[in-house]
Amino acid sequence: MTTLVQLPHDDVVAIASEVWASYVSPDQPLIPMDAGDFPVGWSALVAVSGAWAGVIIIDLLDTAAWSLTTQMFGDDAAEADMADAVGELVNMIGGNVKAILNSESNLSLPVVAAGQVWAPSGADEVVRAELASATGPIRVRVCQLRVQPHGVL
Amino acid sequence: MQALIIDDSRAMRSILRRTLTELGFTTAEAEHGQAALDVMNGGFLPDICLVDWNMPVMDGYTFVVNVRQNPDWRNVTLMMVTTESEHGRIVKALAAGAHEYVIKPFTTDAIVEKLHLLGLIRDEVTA
Repeated sequence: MTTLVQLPHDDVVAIASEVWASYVSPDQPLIPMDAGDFPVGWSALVAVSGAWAGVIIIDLLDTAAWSLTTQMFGDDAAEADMADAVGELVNMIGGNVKAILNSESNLSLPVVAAGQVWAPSGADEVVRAELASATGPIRVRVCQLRVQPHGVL
Repeated sequence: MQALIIDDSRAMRSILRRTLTELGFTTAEAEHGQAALDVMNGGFLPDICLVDWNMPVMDGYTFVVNVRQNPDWRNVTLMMVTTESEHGRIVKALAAGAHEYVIKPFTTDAIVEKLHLLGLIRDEVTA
């Protein structure tokens, strides 16, 4: 049986907030909230493999994804850039989550989807951070894969 | 001054391009290490490369190793700009020949400070 990692919820909130403040809205930080169900416009994940195995997933409203895109690309932002911007967001959040896990692990390239990204079924959610931005809710999930002797389920 | 921005994210390349252009750099871009080597072999000799770690085709670490194997590029400054923040990764990159290491997310001020430390921008530019 896999022991679930103890990952402080506040640390994940702090990471997501720092990334958002750095590239989107330094004056309007993300605020923890109960987002409930919301229509996910974009989502993305990065996988971590190695001493710890899991995925970090983000879900955003269309409006939040567009806000992210316009801040990252400036005046040149186009709808076609949204996937790239969302991918870089999950890359930065995932990379920093991996760092606080204190494990020698590798980070995958991001997978981005318009709508809800596929998430592995054999995983336990260890942290769910729901955050309010000025342009809509953002959800960050850290899921640990159940590693078995013959691989990952 | 010339800078080569190497990152598979167009968003990140856009952010870095705007910062460097405002500082007076002429920039070129590549989406992975092999494309960056192609740009340099094509005649663009940068004063500095800003290098992501995790990229398809050729990652940033392999790019650093390749650059350091070419004596024609010995004066090129290499700065990692990446989410990879474990101590072991930083040491590995610096041992391979990177000069500086910036962890994402970064502020514009952090990039400016590193460029200043590397002697690539003058005081009056940062004031």
